[in-house]
Amino acid sequence: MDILNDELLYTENLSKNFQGITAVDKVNFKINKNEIRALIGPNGAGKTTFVSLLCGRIRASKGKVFFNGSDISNLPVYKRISSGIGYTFQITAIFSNLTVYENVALSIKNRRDKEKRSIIFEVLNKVGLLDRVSQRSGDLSYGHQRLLELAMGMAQRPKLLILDEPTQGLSDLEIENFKKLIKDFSKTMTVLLIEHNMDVVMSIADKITVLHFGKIISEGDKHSIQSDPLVQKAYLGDQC
Amino acid sequence: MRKDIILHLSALLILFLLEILGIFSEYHQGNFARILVLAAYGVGYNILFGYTGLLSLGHALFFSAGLYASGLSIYHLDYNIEQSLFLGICISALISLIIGFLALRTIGVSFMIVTLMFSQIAYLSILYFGSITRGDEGFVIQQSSRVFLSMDLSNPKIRYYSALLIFSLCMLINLWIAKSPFGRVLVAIRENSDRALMLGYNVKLYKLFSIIISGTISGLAGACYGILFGYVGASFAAVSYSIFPLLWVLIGGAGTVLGPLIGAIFMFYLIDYASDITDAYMIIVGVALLFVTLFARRGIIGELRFRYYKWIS
Repeated sequence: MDILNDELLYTENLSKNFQGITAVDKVNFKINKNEIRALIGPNGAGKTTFVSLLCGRIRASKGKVFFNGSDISNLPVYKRISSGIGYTFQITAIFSNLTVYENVALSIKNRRDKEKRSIIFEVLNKVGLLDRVSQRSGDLSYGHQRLLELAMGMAQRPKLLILDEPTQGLSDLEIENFKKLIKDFSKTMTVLLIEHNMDVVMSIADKITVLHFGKIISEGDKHSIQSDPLVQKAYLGDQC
Repeated sequence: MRKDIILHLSALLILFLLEILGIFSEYHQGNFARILVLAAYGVGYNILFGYTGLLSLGHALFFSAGLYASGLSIYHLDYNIEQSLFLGICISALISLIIGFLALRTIGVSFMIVTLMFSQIAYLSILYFGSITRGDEGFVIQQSSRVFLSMDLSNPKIRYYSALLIFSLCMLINLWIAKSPFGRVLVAIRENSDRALMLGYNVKLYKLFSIIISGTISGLAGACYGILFGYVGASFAAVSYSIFPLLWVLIGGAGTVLGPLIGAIFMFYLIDYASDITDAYMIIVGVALLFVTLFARRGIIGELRFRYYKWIS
């Protein structure tokens, strides 16, 4: 019963077909509250499709998604997001012509101005962009744009934050900073991380799910994943 | 913020002073009255295109909806100005809602084509139902019908002030939208609609609201045009009247409050002066537009905002 109460999101036989090609195949997935879960798999494994099904960007062909105890399978994207799912894109998606402040402000809804301001400054302080609050976001460096996107995700105060390859294109120093931030986030929210950088995955994920050809082939802590022959064959290869 | 509001109110004050101090000649007074009503139409277009990023090629439909609804109600039903204006606004709002609902099933180029098609349907319907609309030739609203609160709207002075009032109202609505959280969401949709959706905004509903506001303002401008200038004709529903506001907004600055006014003044006088020089005036207009595009690709106000005055709305 305790395990059930800890569940934040789970799927039942979640599937997606694209004109005969099965991108996600009867996936039963669970993620608990305040967990950092990494979703890994080779290119084309169906990771982005899977998280897109979770947040409703893509409609499922079959199966259900339950979030925070409710069936959200038929809810449109904006309602799923409003119910507490945050999502950051694989390719940086910010509002380039708006300032850093305005970008984060757009992430916060139904709050009074004073409260909104305090959240904006708090998250910008956390990601280290406080000194760039009035800067046009399109003028930020790539690394800072990724941080801004993270700040936008944080400012939404989601129960579940989905990060799609957040460290892509970042320097080693920026990645180290990023790892600390994710660890920090997990104190107040659940993080589902799609990541190719194995160093990031192994160092911050509480649990790892491996997807291959749209199916979960392995799930567990980093040791069990590293020693799983199926995973070694499908993905990790010599890295394990 | 204060500077911004002062700038916009100053622009309105200048337009008021130009008339009250008698700086305008009768010719320019007439031109400016026309420009102000057309700029109000441009403001409507700007809300959809400049702020929300939806490029419509059929806005003449909304302009002519207001124009014909108010004009026909005066012509056939003897409505007074208040009633006809109210009807013009309501009909254009209703048409915007219907067209928005249908056109938003498409995006990008398809949206442009669909809006163009609806506009052409309206244009051809005006021609087809000539017994009611007087077709291509249009009809005149008699001077005796153009009286509002005992004021003769055909009087050039009153017409100018009325046009300025209509434009001021539309411009202030635009300014309020630009500064409101609603306006920020529209800009977010323009910048990256996928991201706006993933922040939990009902993008389709916001776009629909934007079309309704834009269409209603355009319809208001259309209704006022007929009432102030006394003529209702099918040419206002033609495709050129969907292209004009796009040009005004692009030249003045998309997503800027003063852009449609500056663009409308620029285009109006450019055509006016070029046609004095040659019959092939569109060559001059084309070259001038080319230079504006090359050296101020964000439009006149847009470029000023980008380079020097970031606070301009």
